[in-house]
Amino acid sequence: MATLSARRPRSRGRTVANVVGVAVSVVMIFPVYWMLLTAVKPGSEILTYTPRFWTWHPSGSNFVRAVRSPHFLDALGNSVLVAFGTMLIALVLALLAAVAIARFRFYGRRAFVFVVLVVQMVPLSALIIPIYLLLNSIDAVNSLGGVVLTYLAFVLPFTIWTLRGFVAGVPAELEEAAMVDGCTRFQAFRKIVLPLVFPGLLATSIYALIQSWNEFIMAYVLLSDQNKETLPVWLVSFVTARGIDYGALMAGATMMALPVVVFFAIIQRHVASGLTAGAVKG
Amino acid sequence: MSTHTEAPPTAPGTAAPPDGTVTPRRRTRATPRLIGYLLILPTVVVLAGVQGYPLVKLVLLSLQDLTQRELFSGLPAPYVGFANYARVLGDPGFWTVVLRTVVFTVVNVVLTLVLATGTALVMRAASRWCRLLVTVVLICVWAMPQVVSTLVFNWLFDYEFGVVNWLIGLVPGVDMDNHDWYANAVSGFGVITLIVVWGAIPFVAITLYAGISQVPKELEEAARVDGASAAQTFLRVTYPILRPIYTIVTVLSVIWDFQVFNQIWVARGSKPEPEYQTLGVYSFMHAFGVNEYSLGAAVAVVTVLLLLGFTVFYIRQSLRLGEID
Amino acid sequence: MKHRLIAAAGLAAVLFGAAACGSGGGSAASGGTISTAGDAKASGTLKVWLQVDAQTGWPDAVKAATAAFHKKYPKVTVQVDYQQWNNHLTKLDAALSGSTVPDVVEMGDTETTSYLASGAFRDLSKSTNLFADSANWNKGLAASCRYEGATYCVPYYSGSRTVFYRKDMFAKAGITKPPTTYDELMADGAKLDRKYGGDPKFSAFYMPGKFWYSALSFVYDAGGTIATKNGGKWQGGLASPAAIKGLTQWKAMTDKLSKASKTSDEANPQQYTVMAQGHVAMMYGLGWEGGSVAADGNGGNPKLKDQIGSFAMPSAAGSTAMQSFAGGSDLAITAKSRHADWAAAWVAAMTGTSNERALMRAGNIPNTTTLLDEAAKIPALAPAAASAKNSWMVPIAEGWPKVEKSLVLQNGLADIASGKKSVADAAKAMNAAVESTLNGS
Repeated sequence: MATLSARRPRSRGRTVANVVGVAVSVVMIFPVYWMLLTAVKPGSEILTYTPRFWTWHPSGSNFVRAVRSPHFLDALGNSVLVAFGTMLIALVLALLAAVAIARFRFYGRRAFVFVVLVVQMVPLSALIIPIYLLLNSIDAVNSLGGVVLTYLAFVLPFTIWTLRGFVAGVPAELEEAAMVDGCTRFQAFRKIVLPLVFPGLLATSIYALIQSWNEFIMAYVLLSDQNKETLPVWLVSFVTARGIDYGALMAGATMMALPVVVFFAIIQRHVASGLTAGAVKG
Repeated sequence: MSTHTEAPPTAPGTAAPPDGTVTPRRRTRATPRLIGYLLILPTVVVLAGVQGYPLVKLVLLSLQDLTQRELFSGLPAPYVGFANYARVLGDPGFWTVVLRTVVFTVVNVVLTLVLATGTALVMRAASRWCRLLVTVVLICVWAMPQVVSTLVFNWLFDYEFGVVNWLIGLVPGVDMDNHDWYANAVSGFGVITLIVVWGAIPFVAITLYAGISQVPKELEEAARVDGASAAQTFLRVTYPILRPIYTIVTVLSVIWDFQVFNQIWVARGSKPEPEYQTLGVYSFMHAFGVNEYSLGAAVAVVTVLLLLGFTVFYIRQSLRLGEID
Repeated sequence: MKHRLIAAAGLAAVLFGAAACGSGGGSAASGGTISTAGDAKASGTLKVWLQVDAQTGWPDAVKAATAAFHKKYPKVTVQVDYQQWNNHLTKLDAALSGSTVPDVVEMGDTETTSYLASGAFRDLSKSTNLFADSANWNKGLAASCRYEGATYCVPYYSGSRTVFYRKDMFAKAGITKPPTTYDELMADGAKLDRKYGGDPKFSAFYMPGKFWYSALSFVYDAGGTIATKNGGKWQGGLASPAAIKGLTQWKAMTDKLSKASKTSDEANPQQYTVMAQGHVAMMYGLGWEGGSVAADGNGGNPKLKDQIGSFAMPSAAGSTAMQSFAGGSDLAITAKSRHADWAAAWVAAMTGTSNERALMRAGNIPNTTTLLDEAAKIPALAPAAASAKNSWMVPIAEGWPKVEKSLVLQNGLADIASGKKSVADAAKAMNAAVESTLNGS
């Protein structure tokens, strides 16, 4: 297959794209760079009138202070449970629902799509107290399970909508052709639809992960015991009425961002293979 | 191969199976309709449970007058009919806020979509290493905790310690010492737009890139061979295929930008001036922040209705695209 | 279509009904007497919500309080969870609406009133003798705990503001002693400006535009008030000639001596971090801020270690010093707490005399006037202790937290500082907003 697509390298266009790509990257990354830089700066170089864009005295003391601050390990464990739990459950449920609305016809489908959309329009601040009362009534306040349930409700509409777009983007004729060739409906789905939807699954899984990994206010309100708090709540403890410990805050934020980036790095390879496996090559 | 991939081909009301997928051998026992219900059941349970009750509660709340006294004691709050709505809709300030929010949303959504589309196209056209670089950057940006990214932007544009002021001040003849970005609302909203769009680009660009990589290159090449310009190729070939994805990211961006709260709140040091109030900030300051839960519920309901009004075009389009039973 | 909508509504109604039943119970009866006599057999968990400041500022005091508590209730576990100032009321509201509540909560003294009025806290009127030296509680803090004659919380600590100045800059500008009147302050500021005016970042007195605790100190100094209760109605005082005079003096000082942002406040950025950069000669700060200027880390500058002095903000009206805002914290026991006895015992330990001394060492003003005299002997705390004796407090009105959160004062002051509005116009607008909010319309 690959040998057939011997394309002329449009080298000038590619060079322009590379230059633009690097420029975009440099501009976009600057706040992230500032976070990393602050995390390794010694205290005296952090807040200065003349900004320092580099440090010759990198130190790990900010990281040490962040790791040693109360409840770091608790928060890390809780966040892993909550975020990955939410992500996995959301992906399964959303893929099912997305296939349902993209491929099957049933009464109430439009109503379902409509509700899924409207649910996202309700401002979160309006829902804090009602959700708290609901979870209180089923004894799920101050439990990680209650938080996962809440995040699911916020993440699902989006994941369903996005995946629906990807499923709908796969021509039904491909599935039909597979079924003509003797595949069952499930096999056709697994072999044809799933690989093509994979980039979409990836994008939505990162979305679900990042949303639940970084969410602050619901986690803060719902989890009253400090050993149950998640990383964003832990992180904010470096901001006090007596000032912000920028060094520890940025070190903590760096450590918090790391798992997400690593997760993406791992999943990235599968994307490439998923793309080559899904052969829509006319 | 044609490009009308998104719409199921079967017309409704014919003798063909109602799910639109022609199953030549009828292997499956369960009817498509039942499968459909089974597939959405788990989601329905979660949404009805966690969002259904709070939503009903929210609407009821908007018709009551709930104060902290009733909230803490569990005593029933008196019903006041549409008094809360009358208060919200009768406040001339409210409509200024709505107008400001609409303008803010339009600017932010357009900027986000244009820049994210550009990024996605650059990713496709660039070399492998460059694509990897851009992807890693996007993920790092996306992964940065929002609590922290807003603080960093605050710092970059700070009056005292601002890195941006210092950088611009390097230009000969420009004095940016103690320049206050927020002293006037236009430049202030410029900074806030930067924060919002910066934070929104990774998600939209990655989603669009995932979609664009599904578009068969041959289609576009054929168009180019036929003499279409790059822009025409994008608009006539690529965009129609990506339309379902565009619909989603547009609607979602509208919803998110319409309700922006955090970025404005943090950028203004949790003390936003009246000219910085968008709907999200307004409802917090006039309702939840001051414990007027019922008023807040009314604002929330009005927000949903406004959003529905603005997105109805897209929703209808989306329902038409493969959604008509 | 209609059938399904009705079915959905029915489902929701069932859910709603079930939930309503679930949340109805659980409100413990308040009233009855509290005893902190101790019980060696009692076991369970006492939940305490303190603000994050204690976690970083005086963790030893918290430990000591719990240790003292354990002498009375050895088997009760004390669980202290630290809260953020920004969002703690949202969390508290949600918690108080449910059935699992914290037993002890810390409240900012300007946040209490609506909670006192709505019955969120336990009435401690008959139990004040359980707490150390309660007859001599700091006036401002005690007032924030009192509502319609009853006492609902216990003063914890407060802060009070003084001027911190650069001794070296004063000396170089030829100023031999700190100013004691407003005119002297302005004159010294002018001297500093002459000496350091070449520095475009130099502020003789750093004063951000939304620093309302400072601007309103000028109002109270001039004899004005925010509002006073008059025959059951709140009457705004910000448009009075005295208040306008105070605001005008504040504006004059800000215009002449400060290059601080007109649109930010004293906490964004923290003003001590600005002073630490070395371009500020004076600032108006809380007791701990002076130390933070020269602290190592968190934006401090250790090179200024011996250069920071303090003096009381001079009065513009001929008093010995300007009145300072009595900002601080209280500890309350929730009305829904099932362990009011334990809670009271812990609060008594936390606000006990030895513990308050530990808070003083951390740069806070203690909760009683008796201890205030001791604080006056600590050099770093002395000026703040002196100004704490002479302090003003926001109106104790149910609607006060609303006034504060609606930001009318901060935004009105920013309008004055930036010149967007005249002092009189801005004062009139602030006054009208305060009056209507306090009177609940």
